[in-house]
Amino acid sequence: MKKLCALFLIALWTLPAAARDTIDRIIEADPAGEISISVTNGTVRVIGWDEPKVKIQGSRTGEAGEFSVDKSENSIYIEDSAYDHGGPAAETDLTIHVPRNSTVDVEIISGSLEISGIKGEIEAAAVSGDVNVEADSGRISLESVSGDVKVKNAGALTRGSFTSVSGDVIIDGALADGADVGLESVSGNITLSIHGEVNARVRAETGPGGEIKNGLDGKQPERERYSGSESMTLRLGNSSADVSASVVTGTITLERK
Amino acid sequence: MNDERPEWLDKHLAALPREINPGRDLWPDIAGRIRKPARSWLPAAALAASVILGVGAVWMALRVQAPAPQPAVAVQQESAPQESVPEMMTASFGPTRARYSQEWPQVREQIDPATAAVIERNLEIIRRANADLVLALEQQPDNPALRRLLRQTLAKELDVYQQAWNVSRRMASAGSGPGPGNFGGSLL
Repeated sequence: MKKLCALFLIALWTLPAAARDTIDRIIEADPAGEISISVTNGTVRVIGWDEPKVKIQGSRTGEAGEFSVDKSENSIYIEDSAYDHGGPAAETDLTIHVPRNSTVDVEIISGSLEISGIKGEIEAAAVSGDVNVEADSGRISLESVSGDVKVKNAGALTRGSFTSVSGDVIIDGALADGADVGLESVSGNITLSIHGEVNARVRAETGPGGEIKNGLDGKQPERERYSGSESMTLRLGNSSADVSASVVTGTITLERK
Repeated sequence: MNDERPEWLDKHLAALPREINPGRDLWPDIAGRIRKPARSWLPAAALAASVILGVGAVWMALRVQAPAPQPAVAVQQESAPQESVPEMMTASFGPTRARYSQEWPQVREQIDPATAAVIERNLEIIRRANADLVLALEQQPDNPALRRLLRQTLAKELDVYQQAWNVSRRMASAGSGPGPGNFGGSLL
């Protein structure tokens, strides 16, 4: 009986481990190629490094579906389709090292996405879940439906698009001269913290119930008499960059760092 | 260029008579033409002008006499209702949204229940956001930021359907299910 109990306990202890596949792959990559990642559920960390290789480490639940890595010319496609029909939702936990100057394009349905150390163009879309980016990139485009979008960028943005439907948008970084940057959320808040010199035309608009806090030059927003919506246009420095921030019910905070 | 006339030409010119009478009396023809109407469209134009003047005079008289123009405008609006800005914007996405929505149950079958629930929850968030934007635009139809946000959230709804379809396609290609035929059809 004792042996039987011991076997049962061992089986219980090993069951979760058996249901989780381990991923550990490394492939040669173009130092400035394109990395495309599509994951359904889970956590994805994309980290820029100085090797001309892509290293994928992590795990995924379930044995059904397929985890695939394809290479075509200078592009690498990483896709996870884990799903056992009728079973629980598969979940992926991936850490992917990519060449620092890669163009990174990530799509995730549910879970969290973290991107760091990338100098190339970044494009990421999540349905549910936060998107966090710490980069040194000039071109960043991030979207989420119900998650937050957060960026801490060491480089100067030349082109940026940051949108969430119900989450917050928090952007921290510098603006290049002539940059084109848009920040939008319907019911979330927007915080734009600009580093260094600001040469931009900044347009901020809210819907009824929205609010603008201007810490860039202290100018007060105009408040529409009947709807209560607020708007303001600032011309700072040589105004060469174009920045627009829009919310409906949230708060737009503009500040200088 | 030499402007002097030759001597023989001067002699011929000097010999010519100062006046020449016509061979027949031309006046009856000229008088007849003067009496005929110059153009045949003149009476029609005069009639049209008088009709326009008459109608214009009646319209002006009615306009001056009318106590308030609002009822006439109201009647016109009732007979031909104009679409509001959000209605027009929403309508432009209508056929594609309807198609995605109609095909969603088929796609839903191909993806795991938890992911399908996430998709549906987020589609609902987008629809609520759209409804908020429509309400805001009814108050401020000319607000460009609200218009842009509505356009983007309408497009976002289609994006989310598309992402769901991408997931189902990956699962189908991995052999875990038959996969949807062609979600959204040629609209994708």
